Amino acid sequence: MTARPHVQVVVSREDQALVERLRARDAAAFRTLVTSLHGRLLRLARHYVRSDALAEEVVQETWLGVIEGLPGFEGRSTLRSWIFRILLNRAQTRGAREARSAPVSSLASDDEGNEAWLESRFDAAGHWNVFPAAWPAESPEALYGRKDAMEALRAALPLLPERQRAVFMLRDVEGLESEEVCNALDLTETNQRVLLHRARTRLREALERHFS
Amino acid sequence: MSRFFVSCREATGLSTELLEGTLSFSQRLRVRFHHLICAGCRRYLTQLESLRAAARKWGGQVEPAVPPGLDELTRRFRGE
Repeated sequence: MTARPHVQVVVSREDQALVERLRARDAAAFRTLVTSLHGRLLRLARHYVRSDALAEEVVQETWLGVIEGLPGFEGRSTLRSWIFRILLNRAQTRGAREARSAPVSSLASDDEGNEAWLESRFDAAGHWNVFPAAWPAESPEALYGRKDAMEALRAALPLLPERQRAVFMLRDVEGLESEEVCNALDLTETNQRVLLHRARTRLREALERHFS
Repeated sequence: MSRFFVSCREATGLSTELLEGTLSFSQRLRVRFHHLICAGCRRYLTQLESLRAAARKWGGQVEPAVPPGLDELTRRFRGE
C-alpha cells in the first residue's frame, strides 16, 4: 500500500487556539495537553512494548518530540493525530527493537490469510453455511460489561498485524476521525478502511471463538 | 455489485463501509435490503456494532493522568 500526503482535515477552533498558546510557550496549556492525553498515549504505547516502564519511556520520548516539533507543526493534521503519530513512530521503533525476543509480536502481514476463516463460513453462492451464533452479550453495554469478553478482546489485539492494530486502536478505541487516522498513519482513506475492516473482522472472530 | 440482491459474503464484506457511512446510496440500499431478509447478516452486523461500541467505551475510560516527569517536561517546554 502506498502512503500519500496528508488528507485535508478541518482543524477545530479550539485546536487552533491551543496550538497558538503552545507556540507561545504557555505552560498551563502544555500541562493541560499532557494531562489530558498522557493516559491515552500510555495505553496505546502499551500495545507495542512489553512493560509499563517501557511504555512510560515511549510516552516521555513522545512529549519531548512534541516539544521539539511544535515550532514546525503546520496544522495540516489535528494536534492529537500529530501527537499520536509521534507516539506510534517512537513505539514502533522501540517495539521493533524488542520484537526478536517478544513472544506476542505479530508476524502476519496485513494481507496474509486475513479473512480465510470468515470465507470458510460461506457456501459457493456466498450464503452462510450456518448463521453466526448469538452471543450471550450482544448489546454494547452487555459486551462491555463482560470482563471475560473485554479480556478476550484485549488478548486478541497483539495478534493483529501492526497496521490493523494501529488503525483499530486509533479509530475504534481512541475515537479519532478517519481523516485523523489517515494522517497519523500515512494511509489513504481506502487503505484505512480496508485495515479497519480486517481488524474488526478478526476481533469479532476472536469474540465468537471466546463465546463458543 | 450490479445486482440488487447481494450475497451474505458481499454484505459482510461491506459492513465496515456501512458503519463508516462511506457506501453510495444504491450500495447502502442493497445491503440494507439484504439485512431485512437475512437474520445471519443482521446478527453479524449487530455484533460488529457492539464490538465497535464496546471498544469506544473502553477508550473513553482513561482518566486524565499526571506523568511522573511533568515539571521537568514543562521546564523543557518553556526552554528553561
